[in-house]
Amino acid sequence: MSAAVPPQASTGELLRVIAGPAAGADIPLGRDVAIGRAAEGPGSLGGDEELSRSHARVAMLPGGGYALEDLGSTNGTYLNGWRIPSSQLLSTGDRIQVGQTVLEVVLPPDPQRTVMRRRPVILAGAPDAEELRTPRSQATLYASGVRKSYGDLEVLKGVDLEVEPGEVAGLLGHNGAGKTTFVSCVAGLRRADSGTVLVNGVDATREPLKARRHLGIAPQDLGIYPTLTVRTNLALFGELGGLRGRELAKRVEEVGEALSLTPKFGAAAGTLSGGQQRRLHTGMAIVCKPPLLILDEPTVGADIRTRQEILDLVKALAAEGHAICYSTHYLPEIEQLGASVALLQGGQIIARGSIAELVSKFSSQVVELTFEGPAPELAMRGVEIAREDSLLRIKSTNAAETAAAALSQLGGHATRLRNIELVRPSLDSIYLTLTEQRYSSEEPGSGEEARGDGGLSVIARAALQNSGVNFRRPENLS
Amino acid sequence: MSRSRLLVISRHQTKLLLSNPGALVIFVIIPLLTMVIMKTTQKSALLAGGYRHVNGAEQAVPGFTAMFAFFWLVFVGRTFFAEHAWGTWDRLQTTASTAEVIVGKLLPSFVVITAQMVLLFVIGDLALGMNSKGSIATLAILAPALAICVLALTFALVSFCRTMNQLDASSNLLMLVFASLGGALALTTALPQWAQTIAPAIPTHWVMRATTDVILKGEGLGAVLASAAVLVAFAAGFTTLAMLRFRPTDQKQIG
Repeated sequence: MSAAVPPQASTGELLRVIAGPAAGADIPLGRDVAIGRAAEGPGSLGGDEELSRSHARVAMLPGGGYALEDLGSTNGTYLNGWRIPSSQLLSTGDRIQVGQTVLEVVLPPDPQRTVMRRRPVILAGAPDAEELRTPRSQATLYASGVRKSYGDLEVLKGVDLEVEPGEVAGLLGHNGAGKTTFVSCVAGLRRADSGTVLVNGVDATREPLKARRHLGIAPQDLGIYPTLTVRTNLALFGELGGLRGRELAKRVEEVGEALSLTPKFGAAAGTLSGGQQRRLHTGMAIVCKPPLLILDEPTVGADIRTRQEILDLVKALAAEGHAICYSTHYLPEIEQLGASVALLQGGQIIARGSIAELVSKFSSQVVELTFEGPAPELAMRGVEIAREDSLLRIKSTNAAETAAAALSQLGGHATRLRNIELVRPSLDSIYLTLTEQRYSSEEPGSGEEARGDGGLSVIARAALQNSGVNFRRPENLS
Repeated sequence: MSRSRLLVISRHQTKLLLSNPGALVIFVIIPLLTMVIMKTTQKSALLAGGYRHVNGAEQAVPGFTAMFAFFWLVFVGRTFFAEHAWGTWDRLQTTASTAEVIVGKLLPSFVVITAQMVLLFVIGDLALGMNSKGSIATLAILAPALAICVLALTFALVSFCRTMNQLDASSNLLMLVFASLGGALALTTALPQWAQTIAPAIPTHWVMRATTDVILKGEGLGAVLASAAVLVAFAAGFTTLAMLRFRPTDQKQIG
């Protein structure tokens, strides 16, 4: 820092450098202060190479108080851990991060001044506000420590979720896990008790209306105007999103085309089939091409064609760079979409990552050997073996190697071997493992069963094609 | 509040209203028929009340106009419940502020109710021939004031009612109580003393008071403005009540 100046005695208003090459220095306020590697005045922080030449500015407001704005810096200006999308009012205690430098705002109370103070960005219940958080990414959806209770029932217990542009994040969880409450908080339909939700950089708790302009939502329950035409339904939400004239007409046509609704444009929405209504419902959410799209169980009750069209549309939107939060019970849809997974249980995200990451982290593989007569005893290390009449079940981390090792130990029992199966993990097995549930004949309600695709994961299906061995649904993997 | 979003929602609400044109027609035809049927009875009541040179239309036209204005409580209130039934209430909330949605939905009804009242007065006068001592045109001020009052009460009922049955029952009850105690069915002076005492607490009373003052007593704009101001005050009161109770996240049930 080239010009660290002691605080002005007259006001005591200053920026205290608490981290970075100039740590310990103070930058007096009392006027506009430019911050940058080559900024003029006390805000010149030449020792910080990650700063832009002219990085940010703290501007004194006419009625008193200060506002922070980024001056088009390369790596952004952060206020209390969040990259600022626009000019932000400063309060005492706020922390500004520019490059490697962290500044604390010190504004002694002034009874003469009537300045609207901004509420802290990090709310109660969020991660410790004393520790400045550095966002890992430019996530379109950034939710941190989101809590929500209905009376004594705490539905969300601190949900953290980031969804990047172009990412489809599959939000999984049982009924009552908090999926709908979470998406309602993100969409501004419910106000979170605490926590932070940023939608495209806009704080949804402080500026819910502004945040809503960056998102589209298709709620779980169908929401269309049955007495109005399909075109009118789509156009309404286009207009509410700010589209007008030719742009609106073009977008309505595009959405209608993508969802095969064009022939029905003149029909009252109430006369459509269930699948068409579901497509229209989804189309109303995307007509404005919002940066963040929230789809809450969009394929519930949809027929195969509708489901496929919705999935294709979601993939296309993700390819265009939209961030999509996709809540569902149908696990194969997550695989089909190539979505990352956020598993919500008990009001918290208990697992987050790509399917491959979760498979590798949370699941094991099983080799099952069926014999004529009682299954033999095998002595193998590093695996878990269970015998059940003629069935020998071996749980390991590598089914192929385990199968080979088991076969080599069979000796004379090999002649009694009748079948060998490798049961590899799928998303649903991980889901059930993590949520401590199991398949059983009494519980046929899993999405895969309902869909009749055999319940095999992408990984398993690929392996099946390549190996020639039988694969089947896992039963008891834990 | 964004003006453009407000207009979009209002235009949309107009389309919803027009998708059920039968109700709009009925809300004009039924009051007119009632006026015709009740004209003779009202003439007797007016004569008994000491008014001369009357044919009954002087009470029947303003009375049934004021009475049927409150029929809109059910009709407009149901449009809010319909949004919940269609699942569109939450969708609207994600695209516009609650204030934009409410005002946007009420605005077309304000125009329609005002137009209904003016239309009923004009047709009633032309068809039934009111013998007015004052200028009927001055009564036009009452129409928007009463429309605001009706819509504010609608908002309050929507806020307090959880089911459509509750809305229907309370709306119909209020409409009948307002009409009977407010002097729409019979002159206030013909009501029992206790009813006359509480009548000023009812919006309809102020409509009838202004129309009586102008039509039967020949008074001018001042009487109308005073009543209009009271109606607006009622509207402010209903709106305050509504805002104290209204929760955009409340789920409404049909039935």
